[in-house]
Amino acid sequence: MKQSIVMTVLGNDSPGLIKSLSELIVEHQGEWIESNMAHLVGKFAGILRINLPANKIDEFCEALSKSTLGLQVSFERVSLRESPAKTNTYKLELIGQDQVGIVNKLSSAFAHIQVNVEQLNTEVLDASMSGEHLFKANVLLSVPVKISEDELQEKLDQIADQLVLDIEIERV
Amino acid sequence: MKKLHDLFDHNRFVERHNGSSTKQQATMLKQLGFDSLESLLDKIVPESIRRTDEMMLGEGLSEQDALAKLKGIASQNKILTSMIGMGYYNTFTPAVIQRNILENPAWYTAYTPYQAEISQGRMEAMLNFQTMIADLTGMELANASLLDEATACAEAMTLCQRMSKAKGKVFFVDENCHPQNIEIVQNRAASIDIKVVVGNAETVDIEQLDLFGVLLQYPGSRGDITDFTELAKAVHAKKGLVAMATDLLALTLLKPPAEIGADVAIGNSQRFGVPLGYGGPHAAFMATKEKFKRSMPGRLIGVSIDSQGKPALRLALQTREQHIRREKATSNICTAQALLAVMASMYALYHGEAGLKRIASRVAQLTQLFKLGLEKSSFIIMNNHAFDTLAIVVKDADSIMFNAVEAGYNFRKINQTTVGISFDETTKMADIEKLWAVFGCDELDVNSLYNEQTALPKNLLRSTPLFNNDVFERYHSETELMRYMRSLADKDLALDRAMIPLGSCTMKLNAAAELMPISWAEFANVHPFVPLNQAKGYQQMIGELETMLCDATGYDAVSLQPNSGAQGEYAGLLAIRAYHDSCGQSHRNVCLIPASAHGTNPASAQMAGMKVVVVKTTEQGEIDMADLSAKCEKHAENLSAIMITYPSTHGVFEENVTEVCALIHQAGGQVYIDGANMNAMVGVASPGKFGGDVSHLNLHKTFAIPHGGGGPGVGPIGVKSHLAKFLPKTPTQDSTVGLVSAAPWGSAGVLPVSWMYIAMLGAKGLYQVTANAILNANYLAQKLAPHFPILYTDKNGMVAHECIVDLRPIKETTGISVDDVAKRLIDYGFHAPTMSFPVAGTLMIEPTESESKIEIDRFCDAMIAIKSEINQIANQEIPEDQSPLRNAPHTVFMVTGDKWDYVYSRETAAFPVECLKQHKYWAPVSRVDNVYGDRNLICSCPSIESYEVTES
Repeated sequence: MKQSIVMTVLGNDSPGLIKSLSELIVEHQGEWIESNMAHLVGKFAGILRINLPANKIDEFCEALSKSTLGLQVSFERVSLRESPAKTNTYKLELIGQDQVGIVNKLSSAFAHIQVNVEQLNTEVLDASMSGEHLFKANVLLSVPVKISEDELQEKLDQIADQLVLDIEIERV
Repeated sequence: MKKLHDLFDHNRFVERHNGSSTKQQATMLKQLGFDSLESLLDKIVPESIRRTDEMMLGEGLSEQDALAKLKGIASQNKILTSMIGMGYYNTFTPAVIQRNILENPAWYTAYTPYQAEISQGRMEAMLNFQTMIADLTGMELANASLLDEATACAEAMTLCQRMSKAKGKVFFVDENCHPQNIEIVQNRAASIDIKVVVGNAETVDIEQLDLFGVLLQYPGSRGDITDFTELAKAVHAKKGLVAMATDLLALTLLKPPAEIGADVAIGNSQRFGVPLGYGGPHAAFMATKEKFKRSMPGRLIGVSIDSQGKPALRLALQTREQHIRREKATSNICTAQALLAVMASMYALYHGEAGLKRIASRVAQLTQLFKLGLEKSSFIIMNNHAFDTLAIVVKDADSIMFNAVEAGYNFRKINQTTVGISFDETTKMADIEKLWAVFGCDELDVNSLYNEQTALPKNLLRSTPLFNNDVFERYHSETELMRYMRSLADKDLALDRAMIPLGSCTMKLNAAAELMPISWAEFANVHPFVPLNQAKGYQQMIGELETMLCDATGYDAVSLQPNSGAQGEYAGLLAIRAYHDSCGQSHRNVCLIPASAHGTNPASAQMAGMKVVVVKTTEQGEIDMADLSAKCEKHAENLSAIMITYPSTHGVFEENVTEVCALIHQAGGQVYIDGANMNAMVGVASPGKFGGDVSHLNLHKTFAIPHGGGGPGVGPIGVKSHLAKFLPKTPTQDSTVGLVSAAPWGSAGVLPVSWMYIAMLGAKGLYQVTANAILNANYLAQKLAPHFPILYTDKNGMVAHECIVDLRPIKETTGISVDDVAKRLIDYGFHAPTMSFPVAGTLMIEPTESESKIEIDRFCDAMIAIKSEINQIANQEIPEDQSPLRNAPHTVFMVTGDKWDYVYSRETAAFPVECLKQHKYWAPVSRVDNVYGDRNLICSCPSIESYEVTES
């Protein structure tokens, strides 16, 4: 029986890393289902969903941690049958002054209003003219259908006020 | 005789305007490997666009001859007492303000206060302005400032749309708003899918309208003062918002708009001591509720703290603005009316609460006295209530208007049987009887009729004090006010102290002779709506300036109406849209904009209802031709225009510009060339000749109008002949495009500056100016290149009139940011170059022609010294967070305090180069904390006590 696992990997970026990773998965009869990867200041980080035969999971993870790829790995099993609650997806664009702990504050704020962050891309850049340090984020949120767009807007307005951010929202 | 002719001062002004002597120029040329300015230009300006003919402007006049010639022109303006009203009123500019602000380069040559630490003085004055507006309107916060009342109304409309929870598309406008307010609102709405319904606010059935907001005027354009409380409730019940255009002087006696239910208040502060100037410049304002703060357009000064915990001011909530949010910004507004806002705020300080109320009461009583007289003589006055304006029913408006002019007055013709008269600060007792006589009431006597009454409605009288801050009571003596203005100016760094090397901003000399005419009564005291035959001087000066600008740009027609560069962009795009409409191509709505464009470009395109499509730039900083071709092809059907800047925002003459223009034209699009960098082209290349269909110019960059600390600006557009009939409407040319600014010729009052500039330089002088701008930039780039990478150059390694210094490698290796370098430059006595535009992590430097070799050397020395400070970090001699760069700027308190915790010496902090010991500018505050200020937003004057508490 196949089992789905979601795993995160983090380590030094090196050429051919993804190729080696995918080879390792194939060696254990796994399938690469979906993933999101990023390179940041010489590090490689990724989150992946792969399907593996249930009896190969432990073996695979051990092989991965012992491999020469030098990746820190953590994973969780997920049931293939788990069907998530009905949600709407929203695309958010946030911009504001960079401040210590902003991503943390933001993710707690999202958790507090019970919406799920599906994707979060952030960058810090110098503002033109004034040179301020700006925090910019693109977020994909999945929001339970019971929260209407107006309600979401209101909740986001509160977050915007607390964190001094401008938030643009668009239903996907 | 030729020799004698040469002994006079023709063509000499260029030597005053350009910073370097011929000898210094030769030295710089030699270092660059050229033997003449001509050979330098040959190398840099692509041959394909090089202008071959000399401009037709003739020889440059001496200062005296130019002033005399302009005085002759100005004297054709007939200065009558204009009682036309409509948002413009006669006022007395207190002499102390005229001399110490309007005519003081410490104020008028300053730049927009992006660099907070060197702008504390003017920001304090603008904070006073915001406080004054917030207090008078009863609102929680106000900005500083907007361009004019009519565009402020349009901005209020879009704010209402953004913030209203109502889903309707209708914006209701009361017919008793000033006509230009209605027209501009209608115009703006047309581009952005808002339906404007104009009607009578007292009879309209709000229930029937699917609206998101309303615009009301209080007091009304024809003088009525309506209680809108119930209407506001009805609008709010529909989740709509109420915008109210209002009058500051009236508000000293009337209930503030916030108490009547307004969500946004807008207006013009002109009558607070700012001359009429045939329409501007004047500072308009917007005030609103705290909860709408992030939707507010325009610049907002906020209180924060500096690194030492002391109160410090800076521009707040900048992420609203176009330079960051581009097409998603709240507005395209960039340059506003800072200098005029400062003047209006000083007027309030000068008069104080009692003084303002006295003026307002005088106006209200004179209005009532005049009304009583007319009513006694059986005239019908349309408005029962009045502050300063009466709408009077007459048999024949034209004959009354004629009589008025004979007696020295201008009235407003409302319709064939109604005239409007507005009283103001300058109205005297003697005027009342003369005015009665105009209406044939010769026998009336002021003494017998006067009864101390006003026609203000009892239920709308103000019950709250005007001001909650004693700053308005501290400076009533001229000595105190003079010293206050001096102390503020001393905090700031303007062109009167040092070079302001801001790339893309062209901070050149604003010569005294150029500025003098704007104070002449012949220019200052003309109402924007006087009959043309009273403004012959203005018309001639405007006509000549238009011709001069056509010659300089290669365009066929010019409109001087747009009162900022961003407004010019908007007007230019409207012309393009109207042109496509006229060709049956209304569906063309895609505007291509290179990634490196100024933020106003996409914001303006958005306002003009266009869809912004970004074109990539190559690594060399040029437009990516492959991407452009692909986008042209993809959007061929709907291509409306491209907006490019030339020379590019990267400061390079791109070889392929003619190709770009041709490609767009082939695809049926129009070419908009942003004239922000025109200072590199006057007399050398003409956008109207190498492919542009329309350009805006920034007279406050290229043509010497001062920046005023963030305005006034003037953004005329030049167009090719096929677009000429789509220029904004004026009394001399009708147009389907309508108005883009409140006044027909925008900020006409400062146009004499550009006229003087061109007249004194002449064709040869302007050419020399351009050549020197390019020479200075290349000299500076060459000097800095061994120390900092210069980001973009042409194939020969040359730049145009500015250059970009790349600090990203430094950031990577040392952690030192653009901000650190900018703030450290303050310790060296300089305003920072443009930061992170058009490329984040860089500095863009534009020395302009007005800076001498000596000043450029001084600046380069500072940059090179800063580089060696950076090297100390790179060599691990000093940690980044302990370096003078990170702690800059160093204030006098830091350097002289008993506590000194830094690893470098006090001398290194304050006097890193020797010459600073001769002349040192001290920043009044240390580095300002932006995050703190936005988190704890305060946009009005803190009380004196709050300063004391923090300082103790």
